[in-house]
Amino acid sequence: MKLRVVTPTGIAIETEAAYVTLPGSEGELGVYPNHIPLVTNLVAGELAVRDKNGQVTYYAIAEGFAQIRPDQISVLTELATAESDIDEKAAEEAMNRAKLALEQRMSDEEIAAAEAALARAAAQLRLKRRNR
Amino acid sequence: MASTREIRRRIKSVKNTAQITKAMQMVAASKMRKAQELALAGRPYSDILSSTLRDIGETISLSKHPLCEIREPRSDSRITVLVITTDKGLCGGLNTNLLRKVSELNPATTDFVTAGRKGRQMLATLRRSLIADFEFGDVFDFRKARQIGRFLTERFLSAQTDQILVAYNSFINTITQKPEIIRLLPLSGLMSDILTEKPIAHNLTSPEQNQHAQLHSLEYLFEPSHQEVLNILLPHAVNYKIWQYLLEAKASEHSARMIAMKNATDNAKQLVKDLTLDYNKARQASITNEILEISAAAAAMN
Repeated sequence: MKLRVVTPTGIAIETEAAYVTLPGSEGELGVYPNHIPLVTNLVAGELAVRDKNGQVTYYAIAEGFAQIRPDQISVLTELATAESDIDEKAAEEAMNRAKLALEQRMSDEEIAAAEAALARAAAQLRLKRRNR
Repeated sequence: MASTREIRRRIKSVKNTAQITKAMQMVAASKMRKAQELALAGRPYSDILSSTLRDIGETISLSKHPLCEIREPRSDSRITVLVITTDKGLCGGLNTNLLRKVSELNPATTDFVTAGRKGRQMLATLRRSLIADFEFGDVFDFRKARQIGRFLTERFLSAQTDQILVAYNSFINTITQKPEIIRLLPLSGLMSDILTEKPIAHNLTSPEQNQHAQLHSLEYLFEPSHQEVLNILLPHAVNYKIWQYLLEAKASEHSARMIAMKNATDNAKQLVKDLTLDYNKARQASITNEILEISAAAAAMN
């Protein structure tokens, strides 16, 4: 089936996949071809793609949406980073900045934005460090 | 004929102006490239967002969602218009064309929200009801769109307005920008708008079209529930549309400015050419005069 991950800055991933796991809002979601049509919210986390040779690639993605069809998955998210592209230092700094921002008094919206930034950075770091 | 010194002074000043407009043209050109890239890069996302909404619309009726509610026109119906203009001038007729279109709306029932300084100044001079002004500089991020989106959404949901329109310059290409007024809220009818929106890269759309008949019959499941999905998806779609409008307006602005400055530079160069010709004529005339005087004097002495 076809997997397509699109961010506002362009198409991040477009590939054939045999199996995909997504960070659904209700927990991790594994998708094989011929999945029942589904639309779901995604949280910041890990997206894993297994191609037909069994090769698995990991990506850290931000919160967003997935539209699943029997032959195709479309993921809309604000950020998608391949594991190899994750800059650990930058993610760490982003996390610290977000934590710092959360300590200050802010409007609801600012808090939401900081929380989202924190979740994204945390997802990137988790993915990068797990495979050590 | 003006004296040679005067002409020389004018040539100098026109050359200076040309240098300035040339520099502004270069700056606008580089900003234009970036803005155009951004505006075009966002299109696949907005396309998939739209097709997702369209597909969902096949399964469940979106019209029940508050953001899609169409209100019957009443005698006191009000509309709100988000006017996206530039902050600075020197971009040809870009703002004027847009504002001319905007001023055709009935001022008695229309409230205005502006993004960009030119629109604010203009609407304030016209004494229209201006309820909010958002600033967005040359560099802005998605948060800006979210901020504007939230303001407009709240206004719509609290029934202070029955419709929200967006007036902006849509970016067609470097030479052409088209002032447009488009409905943002309510979202219903949006589905048909979306269908007619510019198609993006063909490799994305063609496989979909092949299977379209089959996809139409798909019944989607929603996780956690369709309510919750829509509660996030629809506001996000609104914000994203605003974001795309802002990007397009920026791309239009820099393109228009680049062209305006290019014309100014070309005009200045032509002017310098003409003035140089005048200058040479004047110089030659004075030389001829001098020779005439000398030879006349020599003739008189003999």
